[in-house]
Amino acid sequence: MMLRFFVWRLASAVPVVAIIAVIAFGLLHLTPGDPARIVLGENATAENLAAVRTAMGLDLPLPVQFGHWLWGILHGDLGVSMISRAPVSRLIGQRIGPTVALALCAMTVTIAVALPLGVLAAWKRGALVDRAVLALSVLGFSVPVFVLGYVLIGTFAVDLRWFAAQGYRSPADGLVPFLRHMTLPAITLASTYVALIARMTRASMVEVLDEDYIRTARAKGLAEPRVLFRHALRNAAVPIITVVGSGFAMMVSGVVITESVFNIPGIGRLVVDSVLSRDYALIQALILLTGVLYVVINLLIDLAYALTDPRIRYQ
Amino acid sequence: MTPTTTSLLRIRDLRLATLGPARKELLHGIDLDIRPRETLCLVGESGSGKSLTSLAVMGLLPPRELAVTGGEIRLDGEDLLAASPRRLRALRATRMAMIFQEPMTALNPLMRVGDQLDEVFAVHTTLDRRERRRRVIAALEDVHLPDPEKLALRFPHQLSGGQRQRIMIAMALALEPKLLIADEPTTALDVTTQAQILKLIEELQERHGTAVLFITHDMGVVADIADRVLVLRHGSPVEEGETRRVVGAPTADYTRELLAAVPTLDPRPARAPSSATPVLAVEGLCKTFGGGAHAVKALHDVGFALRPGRTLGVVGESGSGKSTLARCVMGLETVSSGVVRIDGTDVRQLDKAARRRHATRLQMVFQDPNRSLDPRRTVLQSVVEGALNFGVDKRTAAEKAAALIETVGLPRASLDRYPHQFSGGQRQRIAIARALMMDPEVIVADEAVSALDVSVQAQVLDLLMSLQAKFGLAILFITHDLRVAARLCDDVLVMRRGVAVESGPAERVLTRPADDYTRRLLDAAPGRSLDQAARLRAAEASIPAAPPGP
Repeated sequence: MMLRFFVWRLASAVPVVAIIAVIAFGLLHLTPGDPARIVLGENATAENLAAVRTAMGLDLPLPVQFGHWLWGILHGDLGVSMISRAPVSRLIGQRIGPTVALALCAMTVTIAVALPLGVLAAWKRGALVDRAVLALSVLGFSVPVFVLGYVLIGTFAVDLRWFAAQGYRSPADGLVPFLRHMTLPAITLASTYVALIARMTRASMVEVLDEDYIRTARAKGLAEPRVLFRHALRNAAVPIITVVGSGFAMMVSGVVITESVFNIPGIGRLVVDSVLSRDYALIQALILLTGVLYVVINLLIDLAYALTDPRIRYQ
Repeated sequence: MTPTTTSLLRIRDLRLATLGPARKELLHGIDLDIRPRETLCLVGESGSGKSLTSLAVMGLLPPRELAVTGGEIRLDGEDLLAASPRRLRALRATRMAMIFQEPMTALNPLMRVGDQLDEVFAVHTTLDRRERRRRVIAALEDVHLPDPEKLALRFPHQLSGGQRQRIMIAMALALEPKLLIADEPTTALDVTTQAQILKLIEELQERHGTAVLFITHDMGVVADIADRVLVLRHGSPVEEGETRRVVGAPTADYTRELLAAVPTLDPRPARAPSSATPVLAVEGLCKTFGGGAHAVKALHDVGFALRPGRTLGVVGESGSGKSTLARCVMGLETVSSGVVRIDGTDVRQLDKAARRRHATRLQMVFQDPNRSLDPRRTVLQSVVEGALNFGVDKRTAAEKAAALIETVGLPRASLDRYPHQFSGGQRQRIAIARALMMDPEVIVADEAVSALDVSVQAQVLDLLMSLQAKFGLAILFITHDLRVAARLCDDVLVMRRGVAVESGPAERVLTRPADDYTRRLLDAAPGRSLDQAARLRAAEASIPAAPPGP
């Protein structure tokens, strides 16, 4: 049952990815800007420009260019950067590690903080704790990432020297250096999402806590933690999973500012650089990557729904 | 009052109020005693405080909203109001347990029912996993569920309402509590299922020696199962006593009213059969949902004819196809085969525009008046909407709405208010006014009084009958309640699994049923003894009062 559900969802993702590929390609070739001119500079001659365009394959009809690109992708070849002439897959490969590490850490922080806060607020609905959580989440949501980032750096890296102020260390270099570099950026990035997910958890839990089966659970003599986490939270999970999932996708594509503040060599900065230099091959690959990431995350969300709710599984 | 020394549950002067600035007392001093093995019925209409009383006993009142402000609750001598939360949790399921009205929502939808049962043992006993498993299966067997090993692995949505209520009962009685509180446990169930569940509770009560506090609004159920009755109204006790005495010779006016409001199973006096052309006729109606192996035959070859000024009752249990029939007649569902004639015209022969005009001749009143009116629109907006859609100008529509709202017994000023400002019965009157706005020839009422208290139910039924006389309406009345059908209907159509098993004049079908299923339905209807009591009271009333004895 579960396998059929998964295969079906996987199959229905294929056309979505195909559409993303068309859009990634189409959008870019419709926007103004000429990579040849950027490579050659302002004073390039018409002949030189034409020669470079031919070399880059930009003089071919668009459908043919698209065909080449797609053929390459299907064979695992994302193309070559038009500017640095390095393979796109290598460029992305170098940068994806820090970004994924940052997003995962930030999400872990988010869930670890937001879920208990949301559950607590819903349980003590209307009480002081509830209002405090609300105030805290508004604060977290409204302080800009760069402000919080520099405040954290100033306090915990410069003054207290507990953490590194800048840069990135791979987990392969050891857990302690990794965490020394990752903790502050993760907290910074998480601040926005904590607010979002805590609010969502609270709303969803408030609704579930009014359900008859919660009363049944209490009538059975269960202690409150068991009622809250075993009975209520799982029933409240579906909307929370949705927000966590799309939050994660947003994180991976929206880390630009955090990466800049903490000087982390990740995807965010690669995106900015490639757009500024009109590096078509690289931009296309990055758009495609982001699109596929969203699709994969949506697939995982669906899978998580089915795992939490048997009624979805048996439909 | 019974001697307190033998009371298992003893409540004295229980008072309860809402918290917050607008403090309002909801229970004004309830006294109650239940002896071991006894069944006490707590009766009353909505808002009488019967559920609040039971939640107060269990310590399950919503915190920060309601609180006990005075009085005493003792279970086996132990003061529950003074008990710590921890102590209360330990008492729940072990000494006192509760089952609820809505079995569809009372179980956690994401947990296998066996695991939900297992929790009771896991929390309150030190049994190991294997022993708990054995007890779970035993508990499921105890409530006569088939194939308990397999059933334990099911999720609630895979079980019927009756099966879920059995699970709830198994859960409540798993640790043999001394007190079982049952809050309207059969109200959401079909009559035949209700009869089975009531029998089950009685059987388990005898076997385990449990005392039962049974909360219900249904005087029929009271007459069938209670040893003693306590009648509540607006948070105050009205009358208390042995069931036979309270039902047979009530002393309080309110109890008398409650009893009188229960429709009897004796059909209304027959009216002369009409020979007018049927305003609504259905022939060979079939409706199949889905296709292939999953096809569900919701209706199979159903036919009837409804004449002006007459009421046809469609009765049957849930899943019998009653509502599908109504929806097909209304054109809300396309029929698979068969003919629906309105005023002799086959609806399917009409083009779209003509069908739309035709549709106004049938108007529907739905079951739940809390949800069938748009909460963000005034009563006026809801009532006139249909007429405006058919081109009536605003002023004429508003005048007509004002006249109709008075016809259904509400003040004109109601039109400017919103649905939440009305009670359930009033909202149902609004829904009826909305239906009448289109000058229909037929009113299709789908369980239109099922969500109402008996006294309100009686008023709405009276209203329907007077409107029928006034406008010559034909009524297609869908109900699961044979008493309501007996009170209102000229003819009755009994449905079972999409088939009309029997039809004919109410007088015959409800007194001399030809079909076995009809007979079973009638037998399952609670409170047969009530009808005898009612007949007796009626007989006494018709004899001139005897001079007082010496």
